[in-house]
Order: sequence, then C-alpha cells, then structure tokens
Amino acid sequence: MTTNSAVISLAPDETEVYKSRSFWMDAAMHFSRDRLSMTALGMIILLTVLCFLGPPVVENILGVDVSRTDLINRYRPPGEGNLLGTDQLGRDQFIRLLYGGRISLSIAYAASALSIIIGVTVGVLAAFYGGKVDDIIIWFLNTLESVPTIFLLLIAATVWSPSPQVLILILAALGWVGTCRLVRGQVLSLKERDYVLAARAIGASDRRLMISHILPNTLSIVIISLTITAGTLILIESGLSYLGLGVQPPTPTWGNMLTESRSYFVAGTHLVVWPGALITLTVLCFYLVGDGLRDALDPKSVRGRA
Amino acid sequence: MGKYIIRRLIQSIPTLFGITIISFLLMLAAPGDPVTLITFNPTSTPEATERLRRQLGLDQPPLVQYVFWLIGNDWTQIDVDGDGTGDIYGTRQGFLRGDLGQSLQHKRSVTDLIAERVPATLQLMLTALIVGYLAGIVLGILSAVYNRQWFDQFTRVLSVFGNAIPAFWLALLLIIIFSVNLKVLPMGGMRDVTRPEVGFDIAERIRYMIMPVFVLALGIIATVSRYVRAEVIEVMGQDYIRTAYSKGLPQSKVIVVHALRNALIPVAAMLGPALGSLLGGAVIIEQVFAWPGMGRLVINGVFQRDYPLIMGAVVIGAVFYILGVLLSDILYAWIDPRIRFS
Repeated sequence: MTTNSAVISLAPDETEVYKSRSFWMDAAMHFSRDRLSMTALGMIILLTVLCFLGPPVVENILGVDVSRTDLINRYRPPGEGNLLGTDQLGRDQFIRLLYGGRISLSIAYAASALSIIIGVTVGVLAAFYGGKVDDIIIWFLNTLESVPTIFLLLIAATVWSPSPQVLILILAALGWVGTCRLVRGQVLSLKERDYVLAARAIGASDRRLMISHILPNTLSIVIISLTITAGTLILIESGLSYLGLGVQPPTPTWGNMLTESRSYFVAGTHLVVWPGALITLTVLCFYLVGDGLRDALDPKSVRGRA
Repeated sequence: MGKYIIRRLIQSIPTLFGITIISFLLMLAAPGDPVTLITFNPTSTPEATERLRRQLGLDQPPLVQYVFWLIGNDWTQIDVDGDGTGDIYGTRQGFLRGDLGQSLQHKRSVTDLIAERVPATLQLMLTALIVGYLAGIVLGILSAVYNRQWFDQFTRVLSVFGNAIPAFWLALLLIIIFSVNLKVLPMGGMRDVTRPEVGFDIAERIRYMIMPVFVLALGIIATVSRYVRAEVIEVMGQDYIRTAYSKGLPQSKVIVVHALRNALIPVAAMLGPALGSLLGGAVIIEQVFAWPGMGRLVINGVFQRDYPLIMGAVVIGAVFYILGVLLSDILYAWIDPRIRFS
C-alpha cells in the first residue's frame, strides 16, 4: 500500500521531487513518531541487552557472583555493594535478576516465535483449504480455548519435568491459538481477492499462492501478534514458575525468585518488589509496543488520533 | 430463541469430548505409574502392585481405560487374581454419570472432593465478576464522558497496568502493605479458624475477601472499562443521541437511558472469556491467599501427581467454562436479536 502524498522538495535533484513511500516505510514513520511506543521498544531492547550481555560486565564491576552465598549478609537492603540488596542466602539480587531475566526472556522469545510459526502455518492451511481441514482445525481450536490455559499448563507441567526447553515447547503448544484465529480470518478474506484469482489463473501452484501471495499480506497481523504473545507468555511463565511448576531453583527466573521471596517477605520486602516490577515493566512494554504497531500497521485505524 | 439455545448446546458437546480426550492423552503421556503413588511402601510386593493395577483398570489398553473413565465399568467384571474369570464387578460409574474416580492422594471420590471445594471458588469468582463488571462499566462511562481529561487518562493507564501486572505479585504486594505493615486485613484463608466459636460472620467474611476479590477483579475492570469507553464514545456520535440532546434531555439521562443500552451489548459478549480468565486467575490467587477452593485442590494434586483428581478438576473447570460461555452467548442473543438469526 502506498500513500500518494507528494512531498514538494526544494532539492535540486528532479528525481526526488515526487517520492512515494511504501507501506512499511509509512508504518515505520508512523511508529517512530509514537513516543510512548518508542520508549517501550527502547525499554525492551535495553532490558534484553542488559540481561543477555550484562551479567559478566556487572560481575566484574561490582565484584558480585550469581551463585555465591553469604550467610552473614542476608536480606541486606539495596545499597552499597549490592545495588538491589541480597536474598535469603546472601546472594546479590541485581545479578540474579539479570540472569533470571536472561532465562525468562529467552523462554518468552523462543516460545512466542515458535507459537507464531505454528499459528501462522495452521491458520493459513485451515483458511486456504477450507472444508474438512478447516472444520477439524476449528474444532481443535474451540476445544483448546474452552479449557482455561492454566489448567492445560498444569497438566503439561506435571507430565514433563519443566526444563527451559520443555517450557518453551509447552508454552508454544498452547500459545498459538490466538494467532491462528487471526491469521485464518485474514487469509479467508485474502484468498477471495482478485489478485489471488489472477495468480491462480496463470497457473500458480497452491504452495506458491500461499507463500508468495497470501503470506506476505498477513505479515502485519503476525508482527502485532508476536509482540502481544511475547508479553502474555512472560506473564504465564512467571505464573507457572511462581506455582513451582516452571524452571526450578537455584536457576533464577523472575517467577521463581518471587516464589522464594514469598517465604521471606517480612525480612526482605525488596525481594518481592524487584522481580515483580521487572515482569510488569517488560509485559507493559510489550503490550504498548503491540498497541503502537497496531496503530502503525493497520491502514484502517485513523492515524494521528492518540 | 429455544432453537438457538438447543443449537448452541449441541455445538458444545464435541468440545467437551475434545477436552476429555486431550486431558486423557496428556495423562497417558505421563511418565511413571500412578500405582507407585499408592504402593510407595517398601513392604509392598509385586503381586500386590499387580492386583492394584488390575483393580484400578490400569492394565487395560488406553482406549478401554478412556471408555471406563467416560461411562464406568460397573457393567463389566474385573479379574483381580488373574485366573481368567471375573471376580468383582467394576466400581466406577464413569464421568457421564457424575463419577470422576478415586483420588490417589486423598483416597476419596474426586467428585466429592471437587464438590466440597467448588462453593469457595464460585464465591470468589462471582464476587470478582460482579465487582469487576460494575466498576469496569462505571469507569468506562466516566472515562468516555471525560474523554481525554485526567480521569480518562487515569482509567486508561489503570487498564493497561491491570492487564500487565502479574496477579500473584500484586497479591503479594497487597499482603505486605495491608497485612504485614498496616495489619488491617488478614493475610489469607477464608475465615478465622482460630476462633471457631464465632460462627458465620458476614463482616469477617468480607474482610477475608477484599484482597483476593480486588486482585481477581482488576483484570476484568481493565478489559471492561476499555470496551465500555470505546463503545460509549462510538454510540455518543450517532444521530439518535443528537436527537435526544436536541429534545432537551440532560446529559445523564441521554447516557443512561439512550446510549448505555447499545453500548453495553458487546460487553455482555465478553462475559464468557471473562469467566475463563477468572477461573485461571483463581487457581493462582487461591494459592497466594490460601483460599480453600478448587484451585488449591488442583495445585496440590499436581504436586502429588494425583492424576484422577487433576483430570477431574480440568474437565469440571472446562464444563463450568463452557456453560459460562453458553450463558453469555444466550444473554447476548437475547439482548441483540440479530445474533440469533445469523
């Protein structure tokens, strides 16, 4: 989709006088003007970089170690030496938060990427072929959706012992439903368009129709869905970890740090506050970016309205 | 209308079967043998284990086990001693007749266990649902009326936060503030078990419910207020509202009598999904506040690998959810006749 807004330029170069922008450039410009979403995106990038690259640097500068216990300095409040205080075993909370974030974020990123892949594939196939295939897939979706996710997660986490890899698979296996529905709806309308008919008429195969003609047009939905899913999966993972069904201690994740803090919160309030605050901040940022992307990528939404 | 209800009821049957099949398959995939939970005893002989397996029907092929779970096995005989002839009549009534089997951990009927816990969970969920909807609708209307003013901004921030904040963390924070520091609300539980002589005291019950209900309701407030705001703003732009104004009606009357009727229709349709998220949320919140409901029962069952209990609870949870969605669809169709005929 191109906008035909002609930009009158004073540049001497004639070729630059009428420059039309592509759909993606337009969306990017719109998004970059959205200050709230840009801040949220920056926050996500900052947190990710901190968690993935930060730990060795922080360990060197502050002289702390993720697994070193120090029973004399337990429950130290945030301050000198330990930026965010120490936990019930005297471990430095800041560095544990970074390591925990690395695992929580990896799980969320990998699981949401995987669930998007499943959701898009199944959604495109269901809508494209229709008929029996579609009926079965829709029945399956309805079934999955009528059990509150947490129950299925509970069963799955009981059945398979929760290592990060298993958690990624479980979360992905249950997280694709929403994306699948969205993509299916989009493809249902796309496949009736004239350009698809034209491509079919010149002999394009089903595979080519799906991959080259239909898939690119679902991209904006997929990107929005990816951000929202990532946020939701962080919430779900933290909930599972909190119940003791996620990644097991001593490996830290934001969720299981909260489980541990629950037993000690009279002595160490800071142990409750920080992991939860990071979860909230991250999820909030993902949702805000998702909202911003929706505004930027949806041609129907009225641009410029807050 | 009757036709519509019957059609929707029939539509939900395959879904329910799907749930039983999926949870049964997951159970089958579980490593280890449920029997080991009962025979966790060094003096237990292999013969005794084998007898127990037969008695529980675990030596049957998966499909037969599923059928037994579904319709019971009291019509067939079970060969306990392994001599080829049936010794006792089966003891299960099956899910379809309301028997969910025996809990391995509690050694009691799963149906009874769940039935005991359901009222507590429902009490929590329904209160949260009512509080959430009322508060959400009021906030949504005010937010639409004061569109783009500070109250509106406040509500919108609240609704974004309400969806992003982990419920269990908020619960912990509330406990720290109101129970540990201010000591005004109880940390958890449903009533004061140290003073059984007091009996039923409504004020006490409410005190115990304030925090769990608030945490559960927050998610609903967030979603409902957003929808109501958007709907009211949209409806307020329509011609019949302008007509109402031009008749000289006061704003409060225009909103309450004219606009709300149409604005609330889509909100009714959200009742089903709201029930689902409440049910999921209740599992975690009951754990945080030690609320003696179904959620706590399930989580304990999960840690004990009590498969019949987990499966029973999942299926019952799904039944509740399906019924809730059905009710909300019926309500929707009743409010908006266009739905019935599409």
